[in-house]
Amino acid sequence: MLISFTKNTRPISLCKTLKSWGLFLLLLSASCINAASCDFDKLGNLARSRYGEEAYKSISELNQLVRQLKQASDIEKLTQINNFFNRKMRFVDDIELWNKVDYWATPLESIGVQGGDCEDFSIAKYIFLKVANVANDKLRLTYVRAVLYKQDIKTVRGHMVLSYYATPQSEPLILDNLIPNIMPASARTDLSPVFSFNDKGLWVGNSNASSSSQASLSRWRDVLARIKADGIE
Amino acid sequence: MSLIKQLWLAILLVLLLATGGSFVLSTLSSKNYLAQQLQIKNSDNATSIAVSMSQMPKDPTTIDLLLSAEFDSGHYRYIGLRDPNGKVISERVNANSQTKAPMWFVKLIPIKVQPGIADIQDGWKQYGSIKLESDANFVIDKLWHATLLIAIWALAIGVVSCYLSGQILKRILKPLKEVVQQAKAIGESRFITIKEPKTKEFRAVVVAMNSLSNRIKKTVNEEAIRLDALQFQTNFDQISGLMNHDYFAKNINGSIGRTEYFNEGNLIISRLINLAEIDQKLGFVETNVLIKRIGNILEQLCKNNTSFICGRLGGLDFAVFCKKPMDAYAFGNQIKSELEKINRMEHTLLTAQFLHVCSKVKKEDNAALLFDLIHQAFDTSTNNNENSLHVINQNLMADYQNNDRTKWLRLLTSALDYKRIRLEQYPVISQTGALLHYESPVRLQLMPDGKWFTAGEFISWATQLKLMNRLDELVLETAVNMLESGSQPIGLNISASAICNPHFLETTTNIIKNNQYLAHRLYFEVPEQGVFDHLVEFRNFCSQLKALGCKVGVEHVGFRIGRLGELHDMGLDYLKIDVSVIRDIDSNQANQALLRGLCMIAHSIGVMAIAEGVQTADELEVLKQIGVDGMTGAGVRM
Repeated sequence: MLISFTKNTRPISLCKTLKSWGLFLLLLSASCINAASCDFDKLGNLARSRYGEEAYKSISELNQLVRQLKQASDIEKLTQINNFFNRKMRFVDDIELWNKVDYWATPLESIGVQGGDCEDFSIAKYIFLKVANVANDKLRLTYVRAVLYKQDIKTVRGHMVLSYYATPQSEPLILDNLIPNIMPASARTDLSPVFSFNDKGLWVGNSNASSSSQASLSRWRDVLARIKADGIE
Repeated sequence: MSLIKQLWLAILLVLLLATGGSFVLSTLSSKNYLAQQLQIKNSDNATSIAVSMSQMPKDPTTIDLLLSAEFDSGHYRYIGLRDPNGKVISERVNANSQTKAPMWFVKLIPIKVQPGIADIQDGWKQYGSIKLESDANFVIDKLWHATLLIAIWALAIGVVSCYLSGQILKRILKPLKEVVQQAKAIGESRFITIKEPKTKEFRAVVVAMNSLSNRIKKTVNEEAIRLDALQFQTNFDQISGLMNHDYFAKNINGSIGRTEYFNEGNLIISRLINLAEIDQKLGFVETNVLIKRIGNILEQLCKNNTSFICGRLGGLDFAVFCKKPMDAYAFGNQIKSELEKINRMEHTLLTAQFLHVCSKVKKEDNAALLFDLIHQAFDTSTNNNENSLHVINQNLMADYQNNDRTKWLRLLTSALDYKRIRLEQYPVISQTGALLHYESPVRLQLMPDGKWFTAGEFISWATQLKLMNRLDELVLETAVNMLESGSQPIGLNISASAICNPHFLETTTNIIKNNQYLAHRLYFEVPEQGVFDHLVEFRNFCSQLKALGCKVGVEHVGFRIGRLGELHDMGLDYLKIDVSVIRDIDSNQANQALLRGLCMIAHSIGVMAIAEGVQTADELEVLKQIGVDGMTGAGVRM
């Protein structure tokens, strides 16, 4: 008697479960319109198979971090993500790391090899701040002219940082790998901005990167496509 | 639907799919390519404007100028500059751009391109963002032209492909036509063979049909040769090779019995009076050789003169019968001089001595009476020791000579001119008694309101006076008229000379073509002798008339049985077996066997066997049992 009763009720509860899950998924996708989503399982597995246990651990850490930051303020997110990548990655020139003059690595690659140059840092931070629900509109990858002092000799070189605009009019905060602390732009007299961008113009509407051939991709588009392939959208 | 039509449909469908498909695909892929290029242009231009603006002083004049410079010199539909809050700082819209492509095309293949967007910096601050859309109209124009061009090419290729496929199809299917024709021919019992085509499948079919035709031909040939031997055994004298007494008598009676065609003839019996002496001196074997030579001489004579038949009536007596009117003395002397040749061939001093008795043959005569009459003449003859010729009953020729040439010409011409012509109707019936057709011998009324003359009475004069062509045409016309007014099928006798006359054939086919719907009720029959003497002409005659839908048959079959196999591929409709085979069939076992064989040959080449000159009910009964398909003669009534 009891068994048959259970049998009878089961489909109903399953149905309810499905319904509530569907609703949840719907809400989730609605709330994430502006933010990136990351399949950490896939990313972790890729990291382990390509770069080993160390990389997998880093990804798990990152996953943990992103989950912790879910309710945090933007400033907290900026600080934590900035610190995470500045800690996990060393600055290495592309030519050394990738044997190419200029190579835009994906965050997975950067974490895997535990290094990168300025744009690899900026890209990784940009991507995971988006994963951590920071609005795309507030973030810009910015080409800057940097004045450095190497053994007290002043040199000027091209550099890339990630800028955070709390409002469109506000002065940005700069996330940089040269100076690990986040500082407002006015404090960074060593940097002068040239041009900034994010992926806004690229992925509007029909973001069909796959329909255009690889050869016709710009460097930026190319890295975004590879990031997508790694499991981050 | 015919195979050719189906193949055509298939080819057209494939062509349509191929050209149409490639047309649509190439248009779509050009569209995608162009849209992609446009998309790249949008974002690249937006970025480059943004890069240059970021470096520039941000006073409104400079910004405005830069936008104008870009907008006016480039292909844009829209350029807009907005501050970070989305408020328009400056914008340009091109409202004048138009496309040459028709509206439906634009709607059918819309080019959707996202605007290019890029951010502009003012130092560390955001200055705004630039949004631009390229003018898609020039792309649409390009696409429209390309589409038109592709359409024209696709059409041209389609037309050329259709033409080529047509040619190829024709080539491939050419053998098929011949194969189908052969199959049809075999269906019509014309067992023809054709050249084997190269195509494997067609070849298999043709090989099969050819072997069928060849097998039929072989069977028929073998049977014909067997029957020929059988007939020779029963109806011919084994030593001389001439007809034996009974068979010869039957033939004479048969000729006389064709009342419409027989008017008067002659019979001569030549007796080899010193046969006993020859036999004694030369011996049995040499004597037989001599008799064979005599037979050969007479056979040769009959071959050259189709109105003659010859036979050996007994040990001593050789006979020749002429079924046409002829002067008895002239006829007798002709035979006499022919037989004298034998003495020039012999080396011995011994000469063969003949006694000849010649008699005219009238309509009411019969063979037995004639033989008696002539034998009496031999018995009463006094000079038995030299080659002499006696003529009995010779008076009638004078009647003919009285009616001289001019008189006959006048009579015949007037009969033809005024169409005093009539076709008799003698029924030919099937086993079940149904009418197959009427045998229709011609009669002419030479004098207005006078006697109706049979063909036998005027045909030799018409031939001499070269009126046969006119007569033949008139006969056909009359037959057509009768058929038009609802007559049953009519059979016409066609002479050997007519089938050899191209003019006759042309006139005949023309008349029939004008009355095509009557063709299937017109039966043409040619005597066996004429058929085999002019086989090529008969084949042509047969194929032309068969093509028009007429029926063609051979009459008086029974003398050249061994050659019947040659008729296997003509598609004949019937064979009429000569009266000499049919007469007394009820009491003649040998002829029954012969007739069975003839029926078998006829049936295996899809031809009806019809018995001629049936007289008695007993004959009718036996003929039905043997399996003859049709019967005609005095004993046949509707």
